[in-house]
Amino acid sequence: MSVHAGTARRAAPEILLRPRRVAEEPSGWLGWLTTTDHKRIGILYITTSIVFFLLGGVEALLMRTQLATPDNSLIAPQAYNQILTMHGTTMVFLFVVPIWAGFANYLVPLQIGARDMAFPRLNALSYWLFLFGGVVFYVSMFFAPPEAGWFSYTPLSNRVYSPTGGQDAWIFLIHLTGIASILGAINLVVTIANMRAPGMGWGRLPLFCWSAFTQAIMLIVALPAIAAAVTMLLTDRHFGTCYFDPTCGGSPLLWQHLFWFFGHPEVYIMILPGFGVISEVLPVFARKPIFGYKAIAASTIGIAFLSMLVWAHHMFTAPIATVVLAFFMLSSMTIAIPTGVKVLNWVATLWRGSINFKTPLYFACGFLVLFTLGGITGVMLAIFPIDWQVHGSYFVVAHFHFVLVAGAVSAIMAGLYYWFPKMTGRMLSERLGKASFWFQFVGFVMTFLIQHALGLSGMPRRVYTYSASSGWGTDNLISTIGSYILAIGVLLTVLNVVLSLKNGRRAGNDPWKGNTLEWFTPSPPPPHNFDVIPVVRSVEPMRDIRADLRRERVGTTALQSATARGADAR
Amino acid sequence: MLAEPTPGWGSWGAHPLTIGWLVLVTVVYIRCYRRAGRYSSRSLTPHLVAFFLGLIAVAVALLSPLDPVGDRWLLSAHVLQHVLLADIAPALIVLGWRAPVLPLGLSPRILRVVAPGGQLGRRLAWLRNGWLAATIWAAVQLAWGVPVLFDAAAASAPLHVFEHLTLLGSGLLLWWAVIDPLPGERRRPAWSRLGYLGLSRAAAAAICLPLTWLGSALYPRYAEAPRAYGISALRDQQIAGASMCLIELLVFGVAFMVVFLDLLSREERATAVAERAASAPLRKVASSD
Repeated sequence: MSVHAGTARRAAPEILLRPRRVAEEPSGWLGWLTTTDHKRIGILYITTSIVFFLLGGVEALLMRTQLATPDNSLIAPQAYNQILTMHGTTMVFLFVVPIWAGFANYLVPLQIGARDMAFPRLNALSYWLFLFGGVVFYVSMFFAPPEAGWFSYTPLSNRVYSPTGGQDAWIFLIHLTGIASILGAINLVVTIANMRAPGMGWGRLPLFCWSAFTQAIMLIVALPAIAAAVTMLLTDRHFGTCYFDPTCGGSPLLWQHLFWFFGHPEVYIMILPGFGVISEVLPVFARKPIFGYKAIAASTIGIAFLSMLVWAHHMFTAPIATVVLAFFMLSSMTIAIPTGVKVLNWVATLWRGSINFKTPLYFACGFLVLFTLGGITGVMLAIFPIDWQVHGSYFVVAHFHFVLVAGAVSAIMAGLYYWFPKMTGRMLSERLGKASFWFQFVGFVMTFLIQHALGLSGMPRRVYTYSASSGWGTDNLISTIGSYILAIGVLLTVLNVVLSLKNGRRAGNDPWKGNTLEWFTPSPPPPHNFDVIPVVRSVEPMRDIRADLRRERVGTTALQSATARGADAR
Repeated sequence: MLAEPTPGWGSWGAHPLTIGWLVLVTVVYIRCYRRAGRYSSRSLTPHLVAFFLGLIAVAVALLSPLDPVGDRWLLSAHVLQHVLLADIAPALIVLGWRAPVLPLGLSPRILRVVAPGGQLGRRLAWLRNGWLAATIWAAVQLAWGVPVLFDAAAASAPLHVFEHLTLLGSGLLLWWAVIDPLPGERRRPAWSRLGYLGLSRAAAAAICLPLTWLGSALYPRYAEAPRAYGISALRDQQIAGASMCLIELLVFGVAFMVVFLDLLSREERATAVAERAASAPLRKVASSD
């Protein structure tokens, strides 16, 4: 499928002159605290999320250390439950979802040729709500952290079994980050719908923007369910209501339905922007247009829709009629179709491309391999008789880490290495980047591939220890060693970022020969983003601009002449 | 007392009215198809296939064992019959009539009357309003989903025919709006088509999800029906809901993808046309220079 179907020519981009209307922001820390600039807010989101990622990573290492040997007593059972809850909640609500909000904040206005988000102040409010949600949650660590797991099933999370304020902190975290996400999502939808550059129809929207747009709609649809659920849990805990308590007419299954009606879309909320990143990175480093632009955009929306209808596959062991399970099995398996379309298109994009093996592409290729494996185990788990066998085992842990670590984190790394030059004006070190990739790749496979075997041999998830007679000791030790290798890989990237911020090679406007409009503006971009806004003629406006510059190399450059034309027109 | 015999695979009906209607529609379509084939350079086989699959869906719904089983024994069979009549058959029939079959297949005399600008076409323009069509479809679905009406229709032959006519008719209106089959309409992207689909599927979900999840039988006629085929009333209701949800999901998924890709192509074409039009005067000036 051609990306330029229906467009007979790739005409030179015209350039529209627009007046600058950006207020000066204070410099220094005050500037960061009071900023409404989408780029600064994006960087705040990304930085804060990475801090939470490191905290969640430390929690993961603590758990893996505890599980390295049988009958280990390094961490007490209750503390293990608390760390487990903190880890899951942090990674989902304080790392993956908000870091995508950061990327979307930074990139969407630049990619669509806008000067800012539609509602800059609302944007700032979203960030601060997210930060306060995280702070409220982590403060509980000094008192009594929650211990009912990241999905806080009732009755574990009710007042009888979780009497401390830690569970309330979890509830407030969900409320605050939920409001932040909904406000951010509304902002993003309005921005993309109304503020695209001239000529940028929906058929020319960058694929990252498609994924951010779809993710935003999913957030708006899915989050109210969890907001309602945690409010009901709060009233059950403190105001005597009985939504989830069966002793007074409530139903614990209601919590599961409400939670997973949000929870399964949440999986795609975490991964769809990653798909967008991969769709941006691959064509640039394969030096050919993305294969099947429309199919990729359509499959993004298809996945989003299907993800809303498969929540009960998380409840296959709950008392539900078999015919209903069959429905959810079939609907869950259909998600493999649009996902397969994407993987096929990505591979076809690489096929016969003149590959430029830079760090972002390393991570993108790692994503392709590992995420596909995670997808395959996902189809296995969608078959309910198989799920009955491995439900609640390490097989499920391995599956969702293949999807979320190999999927979301690899895509985040790819995005970070790809757009860091745009955000800072400096290149990240390729050598450190590639070393980081290999440590992460090898560490990840060591940590999680073997967990499939652990699960199949019966090791339940969420256990703080196991007996030596189980035979799981060696596999767990390998998994733990892998987790430390993975951690070294992540730290190498952190080190790379810190070193490159000051000493990195200067990036210039367009170091990768990118396809989208963010590469049209200086690195880092000025507060008003663009001095001139180009008219978009295809899904790859920067290719058009570069082609135009090549054509007009003799005499004045295309930019100068176009600017002059624009000035004359005014 | 002897047990009432249950309909089996051989229980096909031979309703003269239904068969007559199917034959008449087929004759009209074949005439239009041949006429359109004379003027169009495109292969119209996909249109023909879609149309006949649509008629087969109608025949399966009204003449196959689904009809007697749904009338008396199983709610799931009745619900499946409704899905065929309200969704599958109309979608395929409209696909069969889409341009160029309809505009080129009708004689100029008839076309002048029924075309959007024609005498009758202008009067019936309101029927082509997509939001109205989706609302009518949703209202028909929800109304016939009410247990009293549903059971009454199953018990009374005239009411049952009326029920089927409204399902088929509203389905044709909805899918006409979604497929947008006329050439003039294809020039505009019409993103609202996704909205029509969304509204209609939300209405379908409002029926199929309760059937799937509720723990008691909703329809007295089927709760009290003699148990046959080894299926309890509640299980029958769950099968009805789950199969309806699954079919609606697949229909929506396929339709959404097709309409979405079509919208992107239409927008691309519309943008290209607008850009050509915008650059035309400049080219003229450049050539005169």
